[in-house]
Amino acid sequence: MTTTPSIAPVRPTRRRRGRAGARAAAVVRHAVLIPIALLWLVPLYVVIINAFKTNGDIVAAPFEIPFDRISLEYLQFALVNPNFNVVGAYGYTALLVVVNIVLLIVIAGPVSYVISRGLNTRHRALLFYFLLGTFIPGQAILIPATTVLRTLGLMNSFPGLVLFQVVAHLPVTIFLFVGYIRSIPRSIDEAAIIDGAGMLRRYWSVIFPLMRPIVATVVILTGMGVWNDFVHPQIILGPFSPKTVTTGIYAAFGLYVNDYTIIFPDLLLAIAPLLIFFVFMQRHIVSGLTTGALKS
Amino acid sequence: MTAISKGAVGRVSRPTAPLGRRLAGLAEFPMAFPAIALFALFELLPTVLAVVYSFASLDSFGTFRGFVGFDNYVRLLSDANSVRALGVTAVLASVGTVLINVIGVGLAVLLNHPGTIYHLYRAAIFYPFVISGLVVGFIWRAILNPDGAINSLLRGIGLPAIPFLSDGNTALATVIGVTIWNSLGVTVILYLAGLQTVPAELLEAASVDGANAWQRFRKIVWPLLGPTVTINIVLTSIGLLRTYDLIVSLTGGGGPAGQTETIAYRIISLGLAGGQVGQSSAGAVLLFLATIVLAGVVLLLRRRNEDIT
Repeated sequence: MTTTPSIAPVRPTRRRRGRAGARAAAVVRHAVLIPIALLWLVPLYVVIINAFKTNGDIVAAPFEIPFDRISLEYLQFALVNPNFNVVGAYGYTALLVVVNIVLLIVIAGPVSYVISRGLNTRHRALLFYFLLGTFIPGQAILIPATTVLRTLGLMNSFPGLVLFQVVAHLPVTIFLFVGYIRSIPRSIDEAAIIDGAGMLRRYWSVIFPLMRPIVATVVILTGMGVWNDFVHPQIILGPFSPKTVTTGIYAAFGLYVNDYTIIFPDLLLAIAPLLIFFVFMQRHIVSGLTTGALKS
Repeated sequence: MTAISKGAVGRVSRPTAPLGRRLAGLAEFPMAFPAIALFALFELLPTVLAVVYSFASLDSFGTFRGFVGFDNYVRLLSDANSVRALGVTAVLASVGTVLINVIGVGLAVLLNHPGTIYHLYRAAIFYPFVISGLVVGFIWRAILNPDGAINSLLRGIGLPAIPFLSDGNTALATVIGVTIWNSLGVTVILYLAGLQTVPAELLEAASVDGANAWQRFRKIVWPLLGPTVTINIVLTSIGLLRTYDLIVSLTGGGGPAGQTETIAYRIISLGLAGGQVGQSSAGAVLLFLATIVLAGVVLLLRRRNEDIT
């Protein structure tokens, strides 16, 4: 909805039209953006309010808040539900996230330093080697990967899952690290070389402390990726191991598919940590996403 | 052009490498080894195995029974369910990519203004990014069920219920709609980042010269946005080709009657429950090739475009 091209050549007229036009344009923008924002927020609203309602109220009036009948009972049950231990799933998933991030940084950091400071063809070949990974669809190699994990005795185990997830995040992480280390002046390395520090020592004590912004990006992207991962824990951990938030909710909804007093509280508990994370970290998530995507 | 000169520099420096640099190479090895080895073991080896399995016959325990040529591909492509899964994935990826990017550019232009209200609009569209695709699917299933919120609303105002997830054609449209809801925010954020690179003085100069909003967009913003468009199209289409989690939850794994089953879902169900590792691997190789061809074609078109302009 743009204003029709103004033919009026007289300056003052056009400026007045311009101001009125700007206001009209703003009105049009809000007229488009408000319904879209509502379409995005209504599902969230439905999940939140229905987590406190009876099944009858949810089915009869899903968008209403019956103030006299709202109850914490369903949320409380969801916390102790024997079929989906939400608290346990939070803990297990958090552990998975932390171990993933630590291993990823320890493994990806030194190799990124080698690649970014190297001048030879083999360093460029090494970067290319890891970038191949971005074209390999995770689900496509999951079945053969289970064969590899089974051969190594790592199938149905926490270490097996962690190693597979770390490797899945290696390409992006190495790419981001290499790009960042290249922006750190070599003169900083040279000072450390004169002090007699070896290459690994130089990385951890001189370069790594300078990498905080990019490490933060990797922590955010990997943390969200691992927390939300479903297919890898579902298949690598197998049905008898502790549940992550995603595999737990999948298992629970297989049992209670029609009971909204189970579904909505569980959904609220599943998204609550992420929404809190989103509210406080939005700026960092956005910058992590844009550096992650636009650099590649 | 630049690639050639870079390669030449690399080649010249190699034969003159002094002993010191070769020793540095020795120090590099232990630092690079863990990443190289793990990547080889858990990423490249499974990829190679997928290719090998796609040409092999395997029993239900996964034991190798010899090579069978293109048998697995032929069987995959003559299996109605797998062909339908390929079709569903093609429709979802192409329609989804076009809609997400067209709506994404439009919304980014509308949102590219300062002020708290625009910040809130952005947050509203972006927040699904932090939620797992699986959970997004469960949320929408709860809302779109026959007795869910939307149908309850429709019945309340005297309209017939819509079989969002229980009718084959509607279900695929629903999957595309929820996919857009889920991924639009990321695309908008990336387009907004691209719009930041358009110099404000250029737009001001154009409007002083009398260019209207559409002309400014078409002649200034759009050409400068080119690289962002390429990245977004590659990222969206590759992402949609791999759609899996959303299908597991939203349509209970490809329902009704397999009409929303994607190839990623088919690969895993064939390989696990079906015990058809050969056909599953053939599907995996096709998905892998589709990803590479797609990225290659988009980048090639882009480069040709840049050569012309």
